Amino acid sequence: MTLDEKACRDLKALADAVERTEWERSSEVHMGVSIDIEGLIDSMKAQLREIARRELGGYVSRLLGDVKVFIAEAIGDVRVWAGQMVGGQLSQAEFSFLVGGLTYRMALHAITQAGTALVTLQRIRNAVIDLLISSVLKILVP
Amino acid sequence: MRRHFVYVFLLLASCVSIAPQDPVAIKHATDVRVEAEMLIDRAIDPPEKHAQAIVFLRLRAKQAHEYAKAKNDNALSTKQWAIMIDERRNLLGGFLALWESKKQGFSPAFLSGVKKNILGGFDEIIKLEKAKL
Repeated sequence: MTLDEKACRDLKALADAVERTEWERSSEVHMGVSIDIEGLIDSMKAQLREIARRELGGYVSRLLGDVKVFIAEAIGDVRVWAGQMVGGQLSQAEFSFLVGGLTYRMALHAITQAGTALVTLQRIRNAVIDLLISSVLKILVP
Repeated sequence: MRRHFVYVFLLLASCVSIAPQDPVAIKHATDVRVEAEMLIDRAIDPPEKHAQAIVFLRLRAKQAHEYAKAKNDNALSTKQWAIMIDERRNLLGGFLALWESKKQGFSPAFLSGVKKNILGGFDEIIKLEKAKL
């Protein structure tokens, strides 16, 4: 590589770096339309906070409450079955079958909780996308 | 930094997907739940007396599982149905298999516990379906 070629390459790298910094600093130009990204994010901030509060605010306490109730019921069931086994209404094999069934019922409950969490995330995604689209449209079509 | 946060958030959120709520799936689950409840009540009798009802209930539950399996982004509901109908697990599939292998009826105390587990399991399937958007 000649000295000129090296200088040329360095100059190009410098120009790219300056261009990148400019892009990151304030605005972005696409299809001839300038969008102030920082301004856009600032304008969305309050609404993003509201989405998070609305969707996640009661979620954790609801989830914990639900799990607590489920576990309390499960313990109650095992107590009843154990009493019935002692009283001769259930055989040991029947008792084991019921406790096994309870663990699978718990598995189904856990899957429901996982699904509910996914639905919450999906709702947040939809709300953020709607907000993003409406915010960008407000800039493009004032 | 803030921009990166939004990008990461959107990227993460875009990875999440779950099938939309399906009234047909809810109907399958509620129908099979009612049929299961009726059959469990009759399980004080030997299974031969209800052989046709057992075959029919198994068929209906398998159809519901296949319906769930055929839908996109429906892995969680499909897994729930798989657990419910699996003969090696102690819910509907396991109970029907036990009844047939035992060749006699069960005590009311046992059936009451079985009912609680199986119907509670169906409630979870229905709850997940109803939670979907």
